[in-house]
Amino acid sequence: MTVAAPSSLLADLLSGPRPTEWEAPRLAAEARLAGRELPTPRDKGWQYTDLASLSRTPFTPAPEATADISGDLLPEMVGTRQVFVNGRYAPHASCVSALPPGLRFLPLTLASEACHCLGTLAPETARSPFEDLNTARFEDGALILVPKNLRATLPLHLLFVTRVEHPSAVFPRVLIRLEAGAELSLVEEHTGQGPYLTCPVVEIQVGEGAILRHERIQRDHATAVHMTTLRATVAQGGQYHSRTLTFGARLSRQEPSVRLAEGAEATLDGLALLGDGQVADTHSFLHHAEPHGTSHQLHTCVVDGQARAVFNGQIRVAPDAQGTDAQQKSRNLLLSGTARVDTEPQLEIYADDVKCTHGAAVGQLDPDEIFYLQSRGLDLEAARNLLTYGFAADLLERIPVASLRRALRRLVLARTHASALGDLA
Amino acid sequence: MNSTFQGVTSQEYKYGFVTDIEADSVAPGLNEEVIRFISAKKGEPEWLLNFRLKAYRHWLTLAEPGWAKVQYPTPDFQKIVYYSAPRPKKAQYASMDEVDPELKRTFEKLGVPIHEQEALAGVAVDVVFDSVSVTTTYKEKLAAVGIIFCSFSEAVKTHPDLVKRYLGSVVPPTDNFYAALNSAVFTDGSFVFIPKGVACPMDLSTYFRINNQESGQFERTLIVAEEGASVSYLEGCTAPQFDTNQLHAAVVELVALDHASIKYSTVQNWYAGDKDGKGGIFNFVTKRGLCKGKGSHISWTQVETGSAITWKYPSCVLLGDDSIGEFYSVALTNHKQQADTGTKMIHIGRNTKSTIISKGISAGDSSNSYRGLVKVQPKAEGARNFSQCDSMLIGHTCSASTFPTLDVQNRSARIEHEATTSKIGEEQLFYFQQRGIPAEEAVSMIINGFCKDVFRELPMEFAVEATKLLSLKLEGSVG
Amino acid sequence: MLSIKNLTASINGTPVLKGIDLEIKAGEIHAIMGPNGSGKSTLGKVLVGHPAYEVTGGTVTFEGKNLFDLEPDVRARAGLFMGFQHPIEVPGVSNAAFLRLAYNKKAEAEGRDELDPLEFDDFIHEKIKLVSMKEAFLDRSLNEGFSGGEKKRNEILQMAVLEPKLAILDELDSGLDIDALRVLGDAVNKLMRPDHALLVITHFPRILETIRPQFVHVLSGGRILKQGGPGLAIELEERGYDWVVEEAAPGGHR
Repeated sequence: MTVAAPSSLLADLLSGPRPTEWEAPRLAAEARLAGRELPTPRDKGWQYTDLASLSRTPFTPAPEATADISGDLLPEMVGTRQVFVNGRYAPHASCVSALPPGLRFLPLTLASEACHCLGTLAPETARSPFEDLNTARFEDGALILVPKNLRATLPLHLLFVTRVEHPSAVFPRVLIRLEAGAELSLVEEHTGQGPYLTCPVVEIQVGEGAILRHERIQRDHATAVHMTTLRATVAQGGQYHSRTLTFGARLSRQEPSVRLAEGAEATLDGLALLGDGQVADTHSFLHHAEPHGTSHQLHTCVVDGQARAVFNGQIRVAPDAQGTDAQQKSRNLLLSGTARVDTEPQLEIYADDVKCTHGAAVGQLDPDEIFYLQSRGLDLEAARNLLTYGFAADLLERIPVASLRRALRRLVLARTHASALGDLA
Repeated sequence: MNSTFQGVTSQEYKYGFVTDIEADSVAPGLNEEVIRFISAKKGEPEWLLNFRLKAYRHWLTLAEPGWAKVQYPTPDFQKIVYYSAPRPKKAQYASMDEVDPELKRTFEKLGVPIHEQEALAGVAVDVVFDSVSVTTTYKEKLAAVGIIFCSFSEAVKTHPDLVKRYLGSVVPPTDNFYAALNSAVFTDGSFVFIPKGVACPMDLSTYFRINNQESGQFERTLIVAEEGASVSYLEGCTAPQFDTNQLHAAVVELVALDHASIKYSTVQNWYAGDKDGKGGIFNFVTKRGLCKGKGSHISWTQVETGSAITWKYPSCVLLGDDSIGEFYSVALTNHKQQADTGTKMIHIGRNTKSTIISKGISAGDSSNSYRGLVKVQPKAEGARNFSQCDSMLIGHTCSASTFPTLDVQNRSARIEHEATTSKIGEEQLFYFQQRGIPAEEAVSMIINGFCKDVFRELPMEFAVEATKLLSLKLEGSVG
Repeated sequence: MLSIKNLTASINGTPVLKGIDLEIKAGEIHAIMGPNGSGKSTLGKVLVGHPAYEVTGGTVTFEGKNLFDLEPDVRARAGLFMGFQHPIEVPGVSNAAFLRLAYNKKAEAEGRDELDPLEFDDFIHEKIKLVSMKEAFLDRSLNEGFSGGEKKRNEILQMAVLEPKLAILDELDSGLDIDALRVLGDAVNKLMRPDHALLVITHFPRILETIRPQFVHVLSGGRILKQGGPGLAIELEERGYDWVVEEAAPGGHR
């Protein structure tokens, strides 16, 4: 085990100037970080994800930059797009001409409501230092407010681009609030170029009977590090459906935590498609705090090269949460002799009238399925690639935005070497 | 809730009597002198004393493990009596007639088949009483085929080379806090050696009993099956009812060489404390089997119904190619009991297989957790594991948790884990009642159905006992 | 045999039965018909003591005994049986073991000899022919993974084993194809004896072509709106239920 050198990362990043607004929460975050070190594999929840390489890299706050986003545009969302480059609002790349009246989708620094929302939308759970780092130093971010009973027909596109040449850190921040009966689809994308560290923090409040569909796509650069904290609270009868797709970054971690009120529903799906020496870690927490909630979680990992996938899925059913229906499944495919998967479902159940199941499977492609495809004329490699594609792409089918679905299928085809099989996308 | 789930009442502990035998005890507390006393008392060789001292010194550097989902006051290790032997009238019993009559009555109350005629029923019994082995029946018959089945202390005297070779080879004295403590202070236990090619002609059995209020029980069991040998070993546990907690920190080591097979079954019914959580045994046990040889097979079956706190993970290290590890468990908790139990299957050799079937039943205010690890090391080509962990809740003030971990470092592995949580539904109970079956019997039938995949792994008489025990333990929880 | 007087019952505080009167004598076959949500199934479940329902008024006597003084299992052993619309699945408990326990509990209550597994094997072998069920179903877990039709066969098999004085059959025809319905209907007819009675609860009249009731009661909104002979079932088949409800409404009859 590598013993992490005393980290100067936190101190280095805090030594720069403090952005002007939100002084109180920033000071509080700084106070919590004072004297703190990055977690090491000895810390609970970090056994499998070693941050030693991170603490050895001299990150500085990312400088201002511009980016060409023409390749990232999605036709359904040309008029509902906000873009942030290196953590700062990029007005020239953004376009919100097609927003429905009443829906607010704008940078935090331009939104008066944002002052009150920060840190209040979702209940606070144990904070990782990356979340505090974000609070202390974020430059800007996005605010999304959907008023009561507004059903937004067009999806929103929120794009975070990072362009750096030297090791730099960015802190994207997102606040989302759906009032009662509101409905929204959101595509949140992270992409970039260079050796950066990005620590997004997403706070979500889904009101009574409101529905949020949240596609989260991480296509960060191969040398980047990505550490997301997401906290969501779903009020009575509300629904939060998210799908997190991890393709990029050499080291990444997703920490979503969702609290469900009575009769609320959540989907927390994930796909990690990993190769080379990538490490992708998901530590999720689903809290059935009240009765009759429903949750579905399907976490799929396809791991090649020397990559490593970590999944820790905690589900807690509170004593009063009778009638809870929680289903969790972790599926993992190892493609190389040096790939590794660690999966830990954790169910804590304090109510008796519940239906909870969880399953985890790690393995290779099914020889019978390979044989079947071979018997239909595919060679072994093609058969394997096609099945690998199928294993991964299963999760893409329900993405509501057609152009995004096609783009992601193509990406998965390329990553599973299945492109040669023709345009399955 | 309807009337079916009302009023959890306490089932009186059937084994809660104290045997009045003047014990040969050391004063409470632990230091090197106590360890030297134990070792001297047992006339141990120098190497074993050093083994103990080394373990003790390491233990001093360790902290109690805090990761399990159990809460209890830290035992005061200086208040525990580390040696308590029933004082024998003679150094060795020549026959059963010489055994202290009071002790024999104890065994009768326990239902231990210690009498010769009961021994004829086909069970060879070693009885460990406050960590000291009292008698072993059937020894000669077993000796005739080369099987050694005796108390641990006796094995140290008669087969020191075997003990020295295998002691600590599966659970090193430094393994964990309680294993280190046991290695320092264990007083007795069972030793089984099945030589090459011998299939043990009968089930071997040990009954453990804690009798002294302040004493801890630190028994040590070592079972070695040589090439092609096989044995089925049964262990039963009881303790009297005291309103203080007693510590039980045992270590069990199993070694299976090429094509050997060891089946280890436990029915654990240590005193669980009263319905308010007063008293009861702290059951902190390290059990591990090493499938050392090619094609070796180790199977753990446990029915855990007693103890205030259970912290126990019978495990298999699958070192030999083609070796097989199995874990079948029923853990029932009621009232204030807390159990954190499960297994570890470490796949190291090629084509190793493991199966885990765990059934947790929680009632009352209890907490019942399954914790497991399936680890496939990089060279473990072709490893297979199947795990099924089901929980059942009875009433709404108990909890059930599952913490399985799958750590896979070889792509040829095929690992599957499934888990469900259910309750004995009102609708199920009503269906039984509508067919004329009273609620209590309905619950018993449903529970036995829930546990049947585990019970069928138990030897027949144990399965019957386990079935009765579960019904007894749940009496009053439903209905 | 069964006498229901002004029975009212509710579930979670919502009244479902609003005053039911019904007399069933030995040898009689009664049918309760009505639209969905009329309270038909509730009536059956209240009679056998389902814990979800609260009896809020009225009396029910079964062979002279106050039914509400008896636990559900005591009612069952006294000869009251309900074939459920959706029989529950019980994993791990074998069908044969369940049937034998149920049989022996009743035998014990009536002072008859209990059957050991071998004797029961012979006994059940005969019974199973009656419902044309495959023997393999005896070894499977109780209702677990059974199709809708298999579950219904199993219900009637239990009826054959327990030989109840009064059997309440709730929507026996749901999930059954026409052939299976005839088999089970014939089985029920064979089990009927002069000292027994039947209460058939059904939405669709087709089952009444096989099991022929002498009395038909139409239940709607928790009340019996109309009573008649076998002809009423035929009328309902042709005209549906609406006219009964309308006919009952203006006068506020019952």
